[in-house]
Amino acid sequence: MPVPPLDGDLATVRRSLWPLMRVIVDTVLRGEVEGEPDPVLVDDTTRLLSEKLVAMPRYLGIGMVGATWTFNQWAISTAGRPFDRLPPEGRRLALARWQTSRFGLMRSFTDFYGKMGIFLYYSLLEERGVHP
Amino acid sequence: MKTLRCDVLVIGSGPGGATTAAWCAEAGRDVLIVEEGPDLSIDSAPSYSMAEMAQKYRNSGLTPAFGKTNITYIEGRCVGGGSEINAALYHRPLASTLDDWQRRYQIDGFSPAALDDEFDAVEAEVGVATQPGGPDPQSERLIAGAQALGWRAKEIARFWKYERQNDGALVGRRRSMTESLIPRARAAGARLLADTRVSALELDGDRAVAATAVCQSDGKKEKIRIEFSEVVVAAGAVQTPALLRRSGLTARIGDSLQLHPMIRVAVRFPHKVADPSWGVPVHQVEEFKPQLTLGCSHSSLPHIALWLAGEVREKREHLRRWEHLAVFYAAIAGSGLGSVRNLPGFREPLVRYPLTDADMALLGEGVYRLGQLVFAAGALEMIGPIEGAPPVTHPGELGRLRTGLPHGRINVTTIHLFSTCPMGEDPRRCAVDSFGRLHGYTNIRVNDASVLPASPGVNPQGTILAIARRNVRKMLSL
Repeated sequence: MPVPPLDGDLATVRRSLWPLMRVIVDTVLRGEVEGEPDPVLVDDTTRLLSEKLVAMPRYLGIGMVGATWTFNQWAISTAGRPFDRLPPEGRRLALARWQTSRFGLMRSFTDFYGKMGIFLYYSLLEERGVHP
Repeated sequence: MKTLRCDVLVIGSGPGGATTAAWCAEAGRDVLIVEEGPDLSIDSAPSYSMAEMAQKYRNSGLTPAFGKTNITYIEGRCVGGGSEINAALYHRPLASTLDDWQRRYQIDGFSPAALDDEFDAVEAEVGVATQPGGPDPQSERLIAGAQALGWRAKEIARFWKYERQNDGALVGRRRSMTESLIPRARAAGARLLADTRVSALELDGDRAVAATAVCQSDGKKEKIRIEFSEVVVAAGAVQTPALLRRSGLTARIGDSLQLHPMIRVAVRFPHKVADPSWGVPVHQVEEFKPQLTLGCSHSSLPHIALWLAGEVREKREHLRRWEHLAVFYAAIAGSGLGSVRNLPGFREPLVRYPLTDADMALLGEGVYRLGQLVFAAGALEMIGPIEGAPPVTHPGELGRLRTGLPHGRINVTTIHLFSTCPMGEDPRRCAVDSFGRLHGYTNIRVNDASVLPASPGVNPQGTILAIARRNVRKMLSL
């Protein structure tokens, strides 16, 4: 999966995290939007989310990077493989586990990708004059 | 390091800073305004859009106040501050609120009658208007619901100006600070340095003598030193205490953050109600003020999708007919006291706000009343505010929300933050005196939302402007 040219603050971290972030965004969008999400919109939503990662207070941004990595590895304990190597249904279940967790930090993580990802996705659609 | 000099340094360009700068410059003082964010026009991005969030919101809108339930708050970070991004709703607080502040915080010369003159002047100088052309479809629902329940509801005036165009159409424009007081300050000679963050104030005994700052231009950072006779800190209720504390000034600073917690719900109607072309709806239910305010939020497709995300199975069907959905809110006058603290090694301060049991009860009451309102207005269902809970489809189901809002499972936001440097003569609780001068210092003043002693119970921009006007006029002995 090609990584787009990301520059500015935390560029190296964002580039290394890009493939995983994109898989998470793709999983979120498959659960929320009609049909197959447009890969260009998935790319753009991921890029905007990675910019949010830089824009948020640094102590939160570092936490979110760590949580993204942890989320990927967590799936090994529940599904035997990291999140990014799971089939689509496995990814959906892994995400749902965190969404409904009793731990606030896990839900905050899925809120970032879920709520913010959805907001950005529909903002992009609106900008492009596309309606669901 | 480059050194700049001025008579009055104003840190921050929101309503408090812009008022201070305009009055000082017009009084012949050499004024330098320093603003951390960029200098952008009001039209640089559509209101409430993702582009506006990226350009004008601090941290792109991702700023939390931590507590058992985290609260997402929004701050402007651009020339004009919060006035560039808020709904610009204008209220005068209740006279009883001002009386209470005067008594409890021992504020000199702070009678409601004395402040009336300031509010009158603010209305004339900045410009306040109601919306021509009747209520938008979303507000029509709010009004219909209130009428059915026998509650008072009304349109809230805004900092707005309408002008008739050549074709006869009335076109409105927000009277933000970049459209009102900042141009006035500049016309009187004030200089403005945008994209410049003040790191700290340099102190010498009971005075501040200079500020160190970092100016960003074309991707390059330059350190500067600014020498002044007087400094007025007006960087908002979070950044003002953060700067003062970075400068070693901590007494009663950043210990008493107050805010208006707000809960939003998405509501589905059998017909179209969302029409973002109207802008933000401006009607509110008056019945439960100042403790509780009910109103409508901006309801574009992205915002509706945001409030539906993860909430309902039928969301795809709902989003196909998104104009049948609208976002409503319940906002309360919070009773907790939060704090603002700097974290070693980090640029952004840590903000904490504990939602008290009383806050949670009042939020529950607010959601209950909101449910009554929208069902009386013909709603089919109310989605939220408890994450993962099924939508409410009948008023009889509202009771469970009234007493059962769980910490950590509701989305709470705010754009109204204040009281981190409360004013008054009571030394146990006030950081600044009755006119904004820091206790124990001769030339450091605070003139923004930080000095409000407590919650005004209404959108605070009018109160901030009126108090800033009063305090700067005192500073100038006018």
